[in-house]
Amino acid sequence: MGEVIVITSGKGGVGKTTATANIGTALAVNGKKVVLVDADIGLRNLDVVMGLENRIVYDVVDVVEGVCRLRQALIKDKRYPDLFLLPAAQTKDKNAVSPAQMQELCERLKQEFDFVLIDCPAGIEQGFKNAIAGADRAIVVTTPEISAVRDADRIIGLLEASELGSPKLVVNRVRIDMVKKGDMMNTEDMIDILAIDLLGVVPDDESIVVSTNRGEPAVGDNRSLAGKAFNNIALRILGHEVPFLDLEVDEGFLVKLLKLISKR
Amino acid sequence: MQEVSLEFKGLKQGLYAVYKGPTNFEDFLGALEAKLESAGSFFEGAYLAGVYGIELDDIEEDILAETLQNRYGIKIKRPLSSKESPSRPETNGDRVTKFVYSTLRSGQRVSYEGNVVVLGDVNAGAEVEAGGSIVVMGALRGSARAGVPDNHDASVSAILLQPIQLRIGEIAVRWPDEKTYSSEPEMAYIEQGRMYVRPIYDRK
Repeated sequence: MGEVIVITSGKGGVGKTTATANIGTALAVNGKKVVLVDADIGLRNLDVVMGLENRIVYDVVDVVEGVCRLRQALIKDKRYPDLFLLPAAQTKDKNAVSPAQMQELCERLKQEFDFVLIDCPAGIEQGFKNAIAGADRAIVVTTPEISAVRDADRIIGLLEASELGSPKLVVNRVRIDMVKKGDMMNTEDMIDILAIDLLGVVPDDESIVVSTNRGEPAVGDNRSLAGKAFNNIALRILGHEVPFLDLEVDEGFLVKLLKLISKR
Repeated sequence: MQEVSLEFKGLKQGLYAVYKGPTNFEDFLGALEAKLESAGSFFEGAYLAGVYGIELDDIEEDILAETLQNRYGIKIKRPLSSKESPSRPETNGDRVTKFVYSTLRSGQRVSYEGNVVVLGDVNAGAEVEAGGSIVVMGALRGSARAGVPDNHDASVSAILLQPIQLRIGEIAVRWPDEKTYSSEPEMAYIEQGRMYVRPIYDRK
């Protein structure tokens, strides 16, 4: 029996889809059977980020309406043998499925997969209610901005009200240089306000933009610091103790050399 | 139409009925009976010492005494006091307190006619409203309104008092941006129509 994890945030544009794609891929790389479900009906893009857009035949609405069998709608990612995607419908809207239908769908997926990751749409309306309906656990993604943290707080309150207590926090797009200067909220401040456990801190990384545009999750790229951070998150989900990444930016050869000399 | 309201205040001398509405006996009696009906047998055996907000003559007092005695088992003091105000009828000590055993997150709201104690934080975007005082055993970052509608004896205290907006009674303040964070618990209260904030240990 697998586990259903919803990835949510309240605010849009904080990296829910990127997080879903990368954490899911990392779990698959670590030998788990994973399905990614795009719950953002009408505004789908998990398929684009995964580079699987051109292979969509059926979608999640077709499955719940019984137009096709579940197996027919699942897209197998050829790069990772145990990774599947259940895409959202683009021509329908959030009301095309109900929380009860999502719950039933999750129950079915759980039978077959170790992890069912649900990419939640932004907002707190029908789409959110659908996305969390079948979830066992929740991951809340936020960025170090007051507005995103506010929305995360609201979402955590709603999750608790739906008995999806103790969600885990992922802080995305952290710029350690700005945090050090005091121009960006640091992780401790956010934990202080939100009072939930930290699952991972992901640095702001240009490689994410490139990988998103190419449709290749960043966890496949060994040079990507963000990819590494997402991989660590996946390991923590699997129960491993992984220390948080040192997000120091590369200072360049000269600075390092100077530091080395001054240490002597 | 004038709004009609009736509240009981319990004091040492007995119950006081505080009435707001049109000053004729029928309206008053109607409001009083409605209040007593909704309270069930709660007031049985009580002693009504005074009525505020309406002057009753002897005949009206007779009717009142008979109605209360026969229907609700409430005795009244003759003559009913109505001139002097009962000693601080609005003090917070007379109010019932509601405990909130969790952090209030953005979008969550607690409203209560007595005092409110929050055992957790009140995050930005959350709201607490109380007829009496508010105590937050954590950080108050949301908005708080104590002493609804016009109780100046109410106060707002928190371990970290850092609300977006604060109201006591009808007095509202925007929290100054430049106010430095105090490491001590603080209390906001009203004195002569102005709001003050002090460490809780300093007050009087």
